[in-house]
Amino acid sequence: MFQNIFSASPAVWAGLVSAAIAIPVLIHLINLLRHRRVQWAAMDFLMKSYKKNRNWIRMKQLFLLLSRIAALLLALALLSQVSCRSDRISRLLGGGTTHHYVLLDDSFSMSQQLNQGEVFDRARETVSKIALRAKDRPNQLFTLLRFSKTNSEVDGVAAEINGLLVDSRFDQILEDAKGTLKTSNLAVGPNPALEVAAELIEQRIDENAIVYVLSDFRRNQWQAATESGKLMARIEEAGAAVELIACTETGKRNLAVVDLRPVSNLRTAGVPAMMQIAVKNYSESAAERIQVGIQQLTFESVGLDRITPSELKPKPEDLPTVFIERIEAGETATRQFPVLFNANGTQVTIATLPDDAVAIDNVRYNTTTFNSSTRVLMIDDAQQLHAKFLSLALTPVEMTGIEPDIRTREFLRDASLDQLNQFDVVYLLDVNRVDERAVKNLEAFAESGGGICFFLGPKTNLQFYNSQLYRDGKGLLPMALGKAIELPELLEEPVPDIAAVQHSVFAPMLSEKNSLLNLVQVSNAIQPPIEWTAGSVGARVAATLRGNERMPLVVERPFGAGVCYVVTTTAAPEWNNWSRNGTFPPAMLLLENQLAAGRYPQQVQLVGNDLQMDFAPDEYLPKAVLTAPVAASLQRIEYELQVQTDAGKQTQALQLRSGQSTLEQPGYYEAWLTSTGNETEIKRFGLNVDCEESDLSIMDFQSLLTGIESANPSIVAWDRFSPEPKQSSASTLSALLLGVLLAFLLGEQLLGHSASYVGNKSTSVNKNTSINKSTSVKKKRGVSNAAVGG
Amino acid sequence: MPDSKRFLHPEAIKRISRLDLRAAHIVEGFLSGMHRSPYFGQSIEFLQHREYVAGDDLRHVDWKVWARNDRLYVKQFEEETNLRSYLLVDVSHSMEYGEGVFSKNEYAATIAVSLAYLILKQQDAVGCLTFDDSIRGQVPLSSRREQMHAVINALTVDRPNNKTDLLGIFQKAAERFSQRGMMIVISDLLSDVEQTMRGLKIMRQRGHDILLFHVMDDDELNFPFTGPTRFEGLESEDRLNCNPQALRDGYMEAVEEFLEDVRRQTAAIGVDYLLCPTSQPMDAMLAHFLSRRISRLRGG
Repeated sequence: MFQNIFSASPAVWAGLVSAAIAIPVLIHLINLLRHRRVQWAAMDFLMKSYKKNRNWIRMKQLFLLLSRIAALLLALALLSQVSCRSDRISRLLGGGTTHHYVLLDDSFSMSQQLNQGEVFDRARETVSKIALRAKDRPNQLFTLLRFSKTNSEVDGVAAEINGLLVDSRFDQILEDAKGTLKTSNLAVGPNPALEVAAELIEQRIDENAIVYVLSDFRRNQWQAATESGKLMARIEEAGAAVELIACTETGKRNLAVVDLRPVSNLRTAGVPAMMQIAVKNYSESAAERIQVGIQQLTFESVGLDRITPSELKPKPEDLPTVFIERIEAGETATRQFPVLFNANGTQVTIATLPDDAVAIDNVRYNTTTFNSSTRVLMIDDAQQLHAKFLSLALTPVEMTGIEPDIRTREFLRDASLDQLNQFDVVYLLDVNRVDERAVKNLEAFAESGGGICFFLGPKTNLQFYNSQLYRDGKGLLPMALGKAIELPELLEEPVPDIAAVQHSVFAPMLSEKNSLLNLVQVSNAIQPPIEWTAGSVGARVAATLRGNERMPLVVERPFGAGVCYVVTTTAAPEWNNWSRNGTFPPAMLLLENQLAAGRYPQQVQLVGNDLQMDFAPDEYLPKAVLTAPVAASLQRIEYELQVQTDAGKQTQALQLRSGQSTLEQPGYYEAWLTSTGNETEIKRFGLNVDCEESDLSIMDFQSLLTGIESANPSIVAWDRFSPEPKQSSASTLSALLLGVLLAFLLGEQLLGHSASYVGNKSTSVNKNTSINKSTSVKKKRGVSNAAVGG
Repeated sequence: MPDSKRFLHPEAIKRISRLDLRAAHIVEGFLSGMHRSPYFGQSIEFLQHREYVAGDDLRHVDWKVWARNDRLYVKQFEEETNLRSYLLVDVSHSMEYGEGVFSKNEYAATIAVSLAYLILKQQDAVGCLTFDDSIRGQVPLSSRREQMHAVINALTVDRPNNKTDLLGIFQKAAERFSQRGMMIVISDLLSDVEQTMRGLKIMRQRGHDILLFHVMDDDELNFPFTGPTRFEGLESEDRLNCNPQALRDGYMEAVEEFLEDVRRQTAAIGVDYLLCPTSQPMDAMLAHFLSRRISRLRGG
């Protein structure tokens, strides 16, 4: 009915407003005519009072009239909101459009399995309830925004449904959108979505907005939600109401593979490599008898030119299951296991946990590049005595995969940095001195992750080492060199010459009771100056001679991305007999492993992050194909990618943005590049989920509201959410109008009472008059009696 | 309220239609707790001795007692009832107003007849004069029993609708009643206060003792009206459309000022004044009046 009235022409409006003004005036005039007649004796007193109060009485009557007109106009304004379109008058009156912003948490914790379905199903159902709230009311807009989709900009706003008018077609559009809704594999919080909602609401000041946050409210995301609280407060300041809708009431136990990485830095095809897996127990009780399935995928790297990406199939091989007896609540268990890849190239290892509350974090992918050999450079003199002993230690059998390249110091003088970078580690074995250019190359080599190890000896030029290689702690050499010393013979209680501390190079030897390391005898070494201390240059001593801190044996120090070691004695059995001892090969292999660590930085790439790979523009064609995994499927999808050229950097960049959703599925990805020589090359990398989202413990409502104290949202469980709109969501201007109307009505009553326009109580009639005797007369009799008594 | 006074309430008095019966009911009921006249004065019938106190008239000292006991006693006698009382009752149009049990006119008549009954019962003489702007009825002084009916006839028969002219009336009354006596004026005094006081002063100058019963309706004292009302003057041509509640404060202020003026001026000229709201029980009013009367007589 109201809609018909108020949607009529301006003439109707004018008529209504005129009536609102005219009616009180008419009532006022009628009241003036509708008086009672009283024949009154004490007219003198009455006329005296009238003359005295005449102006004030007229003013009060005018106020009364105006207040009645204002009350009617306000009532008209309130009623008109029922159906005003979003025109100016409607906005002025606080009516008009109501915009429902639904912010949907689609982080992967929402995929928590329930007895029936998953948490996200509840969220989907609640979206329907919210739509129902909007459905039967005019001028309702609907926006559906996922937490994970705030980076992708579609038409300026990232949303599944963007400001859609709720009309007859809305149901179908919503159903279609809901059909495509599913949880992402991302660990995204609410802040990006709240930020977008706040900006939209601040831009659209003519709308009444309600923001619904549908989430599981996990503790790890909402415990310190100060920023979220500020964003909600910002939304509320913009005039919108915020309703939090919790889609789950309990967390469940969840195990996640939080890490999978190679332990060894000796990555050679055909040589066993150790991998390490970490499983975390996200629950409040211990988990027992956990079985982690291991699978390795071996990719052949030959013949790529003859196949398409879809034709490349890996050779899968299931490895023995890793068994973990028990993981305490909240703890992480790590286990190591060997893998063996017989083909060069980047190979894939997959660890899988049995199904639990959340499936997506039960699988972890690792891609590791294996080469045909691990090349190391040994600089020795022409006799190569030190190099032979060291080579023998590093390749006691063929299985280590290490390929020593023994050169003299002249090689260093002539070699370019690129040549050096073909090696993982460079050993300088009692080298007297090296060329200045070689020093610079070696420093650049170490900066980029290469490892350098100095074995000292009688030929070592102490002055050169100190001035060019140590350089007051800024050079490659971890330790300043003092003088060569001869260790005295021990006459009394024998002490092992090599006293190792807890260090990965000596770890296996330290765990043995009667280690062969104790039999090593060192006769000579080079001692640092008295004033040198390891801490002063950030160095670390791995072993000393006879436990004397003034006589370090093995010292290490990071340099750039790489690491440098110095061994203060010879590699060959010249100043010691270590190379003849059984502990020498394992110690050197472990040293090699440490030295090569900079070459293989541990990088964990997560889904949802941007990815960029740089290539030299003269080596590859500016096009590439990306193959990506498909969810719940062994199939893969291919994307044609354009390689962008950065002229300034003289590089080409393969840029993948997470917003394109190509990088949101955990698994291994392949970038197929074509070199300028028309050869195909594959860059393979693995993406995993962020296990921060794996913790399923949830916040209770009170703690949640405390955490976002700067805002004042309402919170409700999903099953208690009612499609009926809340009063608080009503327009603040409407509430204001209502308040003003009530104030006017109250004022009108007071004025009316004061001006005696209120009704009478008694009905007794006198023979002379029709005066009604008010009960107030009797109440006031005491006053009149008091006057009489005086 | 004692049982003997229970029936003196205006509601009960109103049920008695005949004025003489009404007066008898009031006075007898009022006197039912008393055994003798409350008046003490000169009389032939000795009443009692009282010890002399400073200020007593030496003529009343009993010298015989002094001679016997060497102590001063004064003699007290039953008063000799030689009082001449004139009832001056306002019957102007303004007295017609009344919202309560009695109109002012009825209330004034009841007071007048009650006092006449009381006076006649004391064997004193009473006369009556009704007036508005002129004398409307007159009953000469008499102490006979039949006088009661004459007074009642004067009060009930004549109902003029004119204004009040108290000054003129009081001048005429002073001339007509040349012998000193008690003038009992019963009126709403809705006239010029100064003129009224001048009239009262003239009567006082003639040696009359004046009792002034100021009859006012509760509505006039409280002004309880609400809602749009047209007031039409009973004794004037004034007409006023107004909302009474808005004028009430000013009205009450004017009434208080009027009453205070009357009280002050009547006290100044030695007139016994009593405001009589028409809702006031009459016995209480009579008791109040008589007690003030006695104290005045004793005072001098």
